[in-house]
Amino acid sequence: MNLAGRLLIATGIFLAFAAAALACPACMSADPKTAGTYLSMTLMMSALPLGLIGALAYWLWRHYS
Amino acid sequence: MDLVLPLPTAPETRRVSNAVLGVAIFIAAEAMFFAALISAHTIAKATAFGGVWPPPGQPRLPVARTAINTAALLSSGVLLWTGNRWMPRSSDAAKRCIMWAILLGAAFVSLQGVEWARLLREGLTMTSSSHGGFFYLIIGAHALHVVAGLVALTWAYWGTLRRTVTQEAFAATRFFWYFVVLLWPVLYWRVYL
Repeated sequence: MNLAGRLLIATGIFLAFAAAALACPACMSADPKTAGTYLSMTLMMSALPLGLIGALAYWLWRHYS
Repeated sequence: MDLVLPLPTAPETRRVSNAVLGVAIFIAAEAMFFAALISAHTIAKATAFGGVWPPPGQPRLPVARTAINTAALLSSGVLLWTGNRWMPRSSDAAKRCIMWAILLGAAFVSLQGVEWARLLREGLTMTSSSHGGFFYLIIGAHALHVVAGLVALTWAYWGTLRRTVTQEAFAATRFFWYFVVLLWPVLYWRVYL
């Protein structure tokens, strides 16, 4: 089977099991307070590296401009 | 011995020194490391059995004594900043400020050690509960950073007195110390309160 065929099968398998992959038992069945904690920590861990890189870039830009 | 100024500088003062940039990148990585620990701790706290944290039977953390310790570490950061600001005008006052900053940092880590010994006697260990595990991991990691910062700061301070360390290297160590100082209130808020 060529590469395109393999990719097609892999995509099909991925799409077939995509719903199961979403079902995180810890996050999805948590009470609202715990789910809020998961959400806030996810946001923090997502935003912090962007903020750090942005702050470093801004500092360098200020220094050299 | 008087602090003789100006301190030796790198050839190009306009550019960001490699030492400061390296420490900035290192601090960014360290911030992510501590963010991951705080995130894990926050989730463990939120999902604790029965919503009780610390777990029953575990000793409570010394909030009031650590608040005093927090004040000592913050004062250390303020003194270092002030000492650096005074350097061009008054080398004696600057020296005193930096010396006190180092001493307060050492006092912080010593008092933390005393508190740890007391908590260990009361039964809070790495394996006694997730509370103990997170406490020693997060606060221990910070304490290691404080010790590393103190060693670097003392080295840089003596180096500036002997004119063997450049301003840039001293700035890099100061930068790291400010990170250690400013990180602590966040850890205190998340772990102790």
